[in-house]
Amino acid sequence: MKIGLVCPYDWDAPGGVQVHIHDQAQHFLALGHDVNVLAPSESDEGHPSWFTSGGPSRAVRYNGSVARLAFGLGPTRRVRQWVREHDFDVLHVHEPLSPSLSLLAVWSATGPIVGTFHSSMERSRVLTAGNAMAQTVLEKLRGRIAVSESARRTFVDHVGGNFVVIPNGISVANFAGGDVLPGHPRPHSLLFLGRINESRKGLHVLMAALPKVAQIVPDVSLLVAGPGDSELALAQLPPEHRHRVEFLGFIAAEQKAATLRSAWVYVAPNTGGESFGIILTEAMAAGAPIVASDLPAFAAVLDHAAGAMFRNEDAEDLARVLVEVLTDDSIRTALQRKGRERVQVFDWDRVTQDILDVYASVMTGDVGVREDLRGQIAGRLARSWGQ
Amino acid sequence: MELVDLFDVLRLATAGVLLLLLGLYLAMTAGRLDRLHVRYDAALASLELQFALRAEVVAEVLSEGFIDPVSTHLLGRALAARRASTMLDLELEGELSELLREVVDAHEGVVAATELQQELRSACNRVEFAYRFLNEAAETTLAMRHRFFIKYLGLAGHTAFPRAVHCDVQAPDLVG
Repeated sequence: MKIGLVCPYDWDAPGGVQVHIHDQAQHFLALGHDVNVLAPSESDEGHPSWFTSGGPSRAVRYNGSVARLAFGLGPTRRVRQWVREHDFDVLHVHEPLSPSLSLLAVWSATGPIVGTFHSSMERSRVLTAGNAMAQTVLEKLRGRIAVSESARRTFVDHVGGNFVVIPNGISVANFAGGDVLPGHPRPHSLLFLGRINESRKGLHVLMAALPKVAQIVPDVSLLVAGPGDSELALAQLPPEHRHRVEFLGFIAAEQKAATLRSAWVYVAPNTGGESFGIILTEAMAAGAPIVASDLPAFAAVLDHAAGAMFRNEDAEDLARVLVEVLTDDSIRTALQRKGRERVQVFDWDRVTQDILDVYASVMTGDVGVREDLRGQIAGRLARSWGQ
Repeated sequence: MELVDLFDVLRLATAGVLLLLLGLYLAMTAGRLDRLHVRYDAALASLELQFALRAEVVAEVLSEGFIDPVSTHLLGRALAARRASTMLDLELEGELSELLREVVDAHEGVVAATELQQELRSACNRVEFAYRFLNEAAETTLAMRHRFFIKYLGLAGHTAFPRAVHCDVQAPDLVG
């Protein structure tokens, strides 16, 4: 199958959407599909053969924040040329309402077009439904994918319509086996991962629960991995308990898997702001038993069973759940097993197949993606300009 | 005398511009509507195709003989009823979805060897996706058809009204 993927955000900058599209392309290529990715990038050189630069992006103020977007004659011309030359069976645009390459691609093409709606948090970066341009884009999408239940809800409120939920993929195998930190996993040790001074990450809830856990599990300890001011974090704890905490500091991406594999119990006390909870899927893949706050996004990822949940921001309840998990090894190993089962849903192998099923359901055989010239004077001008 | 002429010219010019704008708007709206109808037709064709493909995979599952004879009989009947009907019959498709779920559940999620099991999962997913996308297209197109100009100026011509479909398409819970 010939698949065209469009990324609205600058390929040279790091970001979740870029990583997702990169991995998606790799898995399609591995299955023998013909894939080409179009994204804004500073240079045409130095890219693999499956990548096409849509031209440089420009920094503009958009809804109060600075965003790097691609627009103008150059990108429009490149998008049209790309659609014309590749003769795709299906066009898959990411974040189609982002006013950048994705929107231009939908604008310029007709046929089987699928859109994936990502973030429920970066709404400032997308158009609103009332906008005439957004309306045209939505009308041309034959299939809509949301990456999580909460993203789906946000976009249904925002633009309406019918979405299928296909989560972001992770490579389970990369997390499942490999090194652990020396001396770990240590019995009765808890792992926290994330920015340590950011209250949304909820370390303060865990700190408040720790003395209560220590009353029943005297040798409980806490491993904290993440950037931030450790002394500030430690001040939340009574002095006699401070020896229980060890700070690992900032953890590089390559060390994340090893750190998660080293967890006796992984705790995610996040108090909000999570739209997907990819860290929980990684923890499940690494075989870490999970204790997490009952945020809707977390409950959805864990399917209410693959982790032990406590009432959000309730240290008392967290302490109760932690004691249960730490004192009964059968609960801990059951959580581990259920996590490993559950995470299969998020494995790239499964996710890739689901996305291919979406493609199949919008394709009706013969007609592929064509350039759309109808009523698009600007597009015609750009085309004649290019020739 | 000369002033009056000037006003007439202005009036004519204004009327001409307005007419031109209205014409442009109508042409664009008609184009949009046409595109929506094309999308709806494609979605309907896709759903019919996915129903047919699902039935094929189910038939393969039956011929493989992995599942028990009663389930084979029940699914066989559903497939035969489907074959006997010449048009898209949503009730039959819905019954097949329901029956499939029961049979899969009764076999604890495994009804075929790995590869065929995968195919069945895909086929059921595709039905579900095509169904959602069809209703999405129907809703959008219908909303457009009810707009003032389209309704009363007949911009849609004699194209039939699209309709949303309702039937059970929920995929069975296949293991693996």
